[in-house]
Amino acid sequence: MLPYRSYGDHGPLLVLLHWLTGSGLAWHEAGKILGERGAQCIAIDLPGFGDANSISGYDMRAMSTAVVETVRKLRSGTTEAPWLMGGHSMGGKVAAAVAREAINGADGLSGLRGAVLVSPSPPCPEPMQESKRAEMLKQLGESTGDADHDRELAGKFIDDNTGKLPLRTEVRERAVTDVLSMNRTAFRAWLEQGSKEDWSERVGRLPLPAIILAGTEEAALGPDVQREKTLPHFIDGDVIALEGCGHLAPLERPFEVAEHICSFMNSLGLSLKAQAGELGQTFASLLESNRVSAQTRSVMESRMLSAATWDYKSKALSDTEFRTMRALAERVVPHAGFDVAGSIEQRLANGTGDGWRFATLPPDAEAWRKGLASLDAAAEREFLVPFVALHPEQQDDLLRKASGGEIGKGLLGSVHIGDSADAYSGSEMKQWFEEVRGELAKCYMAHPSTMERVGFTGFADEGGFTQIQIGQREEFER
Amino acid sequence: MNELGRLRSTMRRFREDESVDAVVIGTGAGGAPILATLAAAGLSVVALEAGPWFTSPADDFATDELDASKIYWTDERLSGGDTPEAFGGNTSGTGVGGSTLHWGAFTPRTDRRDLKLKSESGDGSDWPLTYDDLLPYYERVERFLGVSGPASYPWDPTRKYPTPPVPVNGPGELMMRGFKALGMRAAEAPVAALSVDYATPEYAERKACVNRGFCHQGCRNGAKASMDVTYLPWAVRSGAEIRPGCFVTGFEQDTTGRLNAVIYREQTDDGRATERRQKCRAVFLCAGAIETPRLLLHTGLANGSGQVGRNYMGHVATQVWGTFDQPVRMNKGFPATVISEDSLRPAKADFAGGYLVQSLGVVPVTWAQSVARSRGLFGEDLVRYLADYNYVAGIGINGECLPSARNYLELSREKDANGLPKPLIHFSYGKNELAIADHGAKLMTQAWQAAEAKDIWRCERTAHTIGTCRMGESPENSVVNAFGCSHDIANLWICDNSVFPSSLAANPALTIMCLALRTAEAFLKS
Repeated sequence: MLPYRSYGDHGPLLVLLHWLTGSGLAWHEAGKILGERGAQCIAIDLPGFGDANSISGYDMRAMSTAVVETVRKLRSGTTEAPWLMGGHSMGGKVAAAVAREAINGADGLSGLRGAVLVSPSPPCPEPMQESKRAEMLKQLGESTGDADHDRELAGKFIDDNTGKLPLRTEVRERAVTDVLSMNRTAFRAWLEQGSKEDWSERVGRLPLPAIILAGTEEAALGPDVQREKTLPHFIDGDVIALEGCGHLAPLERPFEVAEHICSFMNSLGLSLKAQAGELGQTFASLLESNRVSAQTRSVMESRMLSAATWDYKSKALSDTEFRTMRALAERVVPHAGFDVAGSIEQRLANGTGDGWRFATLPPDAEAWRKGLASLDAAAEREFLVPFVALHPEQQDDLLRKASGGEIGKGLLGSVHIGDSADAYSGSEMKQWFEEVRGELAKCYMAHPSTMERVGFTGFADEGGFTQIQIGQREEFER
Repeated sequence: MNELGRLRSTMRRFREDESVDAVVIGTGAGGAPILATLAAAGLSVVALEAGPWFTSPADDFATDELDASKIYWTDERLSGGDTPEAFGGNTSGTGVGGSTLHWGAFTPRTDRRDLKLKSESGDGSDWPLTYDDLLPYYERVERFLGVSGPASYPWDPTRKYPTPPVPVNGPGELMMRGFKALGMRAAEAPVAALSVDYATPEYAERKACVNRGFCHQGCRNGAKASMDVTYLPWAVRSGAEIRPGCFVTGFEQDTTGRLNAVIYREQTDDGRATERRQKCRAVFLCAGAIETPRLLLHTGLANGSGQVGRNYMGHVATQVWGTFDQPVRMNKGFPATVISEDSLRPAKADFAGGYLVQSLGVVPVTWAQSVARSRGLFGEDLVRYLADYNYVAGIGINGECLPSARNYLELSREKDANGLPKPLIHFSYGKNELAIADHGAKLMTQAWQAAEAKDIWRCERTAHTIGTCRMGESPENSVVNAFGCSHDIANLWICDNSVFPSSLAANPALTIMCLALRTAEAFLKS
């Protein structure tokens, strides 16, 4: 059994394999997000990498067999539960082989519903120039014996594979550490053998839906190559191009990767339960008690129900806009435990307002569209990639500027975003972001699980309150 | 079902082609007392209310802020200027009972001096009436509503409230502590919520307040003196008809210019709207300081002075928040239980007029929005601060806003579902408002420091919708006379906060009800 890390403890299972030089940790950021979104992720260390550093068996057959065994053990007892197979780069090729095993009825692998491949090495021999292969072998095939130099080479390798936006420092450090702790024999074996193996016939055409994500900045395994080499192996697949992203999408774009995986799971009919959908025992008992009026309980329960999953599909905004909205919501009310953006998008689609808007802003749905476009323009301007692709710290930085009126079209402001009619001025941006904060905070605070978190029990008011002075408490208040 | 709900089935009904003595538009603080007074005098009266009829508040109103949007006026308004005001739940309600359904029921009387601010300071505008004109009405309305207040009101010892004060809650206690430390007076506030069960000959017994604290989301037991439990049952029992779901879009006039019919859209239960027309001999327009001028501008009526929509005002409602060591749980008890009028004319002030101070308990969703909007927090900072909810208390002012030519309401180019242009309100603080906000914030910060609050911050906010159809002696520069009668159209009367020539520091509803009785009596005399 291979070592692995797991994220999330309920919901559809996604088994994830990593890239050459990486480990299960490469999925750490995306895994955490998916865990919060109600999916379970198992990120396996392949033989020779991460904690599997001393496990041997580096060719395609050995690796896929080891993964099959691991998955079988992990799923024992839940053999009918739906699951997905996923892999990045090298791990993508192994994932396709494992998927074939599952389709062929391998013991303990039933219930496979789809594949998630990120910049996969295709089942055929990887289209790689010999000079490139030689360069990689020279760079990382052996330790130079000088730890600093090794670290430097590893860092260069990571950077060479990164797209327009440099990795977050801690993510880059982790990736470098993975390179340094891998078994270099396994590294050489992949370049000299695994990547050259032709599994295209063995994998064949899989009767599975798949999404294949690839960065537009990637040299060898970009969207076009994937369309030609990987897509035909799936009966129903989509290639999704990540603008400005390099080869390392799970490290570069964990949020977007997680978003696409969630949408994919939804499209397969797999529901993702929100953490906030479950209330603690004490709070739930209070809500059920006769301290709460029937209509109050009914309103709170229906709110719980309407925000019980992450399955919402946007109606007023495009999928891309909605992903940005979710990214923004995560920065304003982080770890809310439910789809705050979805609740607001639903309101935009229904056209129900709160009775007013700033006269400087267009009607609500259009105001959001324009605000999100302005954020994207600012992100492109500052970091060359859209807002959704930014690191959380960079997103926060832009939002702070937005609230200071420093982002906007026209000559004023430190982040000039062109003069497109789709962009706000600095003062409009400031008002829009105020509106955004207010809406998100309102929606966040109104959810019963937030009330539980805050310790608010004012809804338990049947019979009224008698202990209203400081230092007094009703019997159910803690 | 409450008393009014029970009366609905036996309510008198008028035919549309029967010319009733009066149509009253709106059933809030302006319309309801008029409706009751006219019906009690034996007149045939029909009230047109845009919102629904909540016949059983005990079942209709959940203790939930989002669900309460059904009692907020949510037709979109465009808010412009340098100090754009939040409308919707912040200012305006809907339903039979109007804005009093979501009303905070804080009922100070105006200060005598505020009615003559222009004479006193050279700024603002004098009212064409005096405090002594209003006094008998204040006493009548307070008695009718059962307003609760202290046995001895520090700023007016002659005043007697009909019921004892509601219990002081956490924020009230803290304000008392802070003001005492500053050597200033604070007292239990006059509020239109009952501290004891109360009955009058005109309506059935109402129960005492049970301290739920969700007054802005609709009172469930009738303790709050919203119009649906006070003036409206009296009106219906006296023979008035209330038609819910009726939004007025226009009028018809006879050859002399008098109004002889009201055109409205009635929302039927299946969600469709039907155009209707009620014949009448007089019209009372009581739709509030936004809908009233909006309808007049849309119809082009009663605007010979050019003053319709002018001099829009909102109270300076700056707040100061702080976090305390002990749980406050400010959601419990009446939202504002303590008042101070010491700042109505502060010494050495650099502004005209003054402000009231009140303790603030705000329910969590509303508070979260204020924090996110005004304090500007987001991310972990926001979520962490919101988690302090139980330890937070506020204090706020209601401050004079001077009428200004810069501030006005006009019709925008956007239309709403009723086919009327959405209102566009321009509102910017002038020097006086800014000075009041600063003065208030400084005082309240000191009070909160004295009460040992931590993490103190200032929240800018404006409240209430005032002005736009000002009353005055001259048809040249006012829309209605001192009794609310239009200078242009003899059988059109206006009574709501739109007729206020200046904002006054007091919260408006109690004064609106006084004006309503005065308007109704003047009409009966004419």
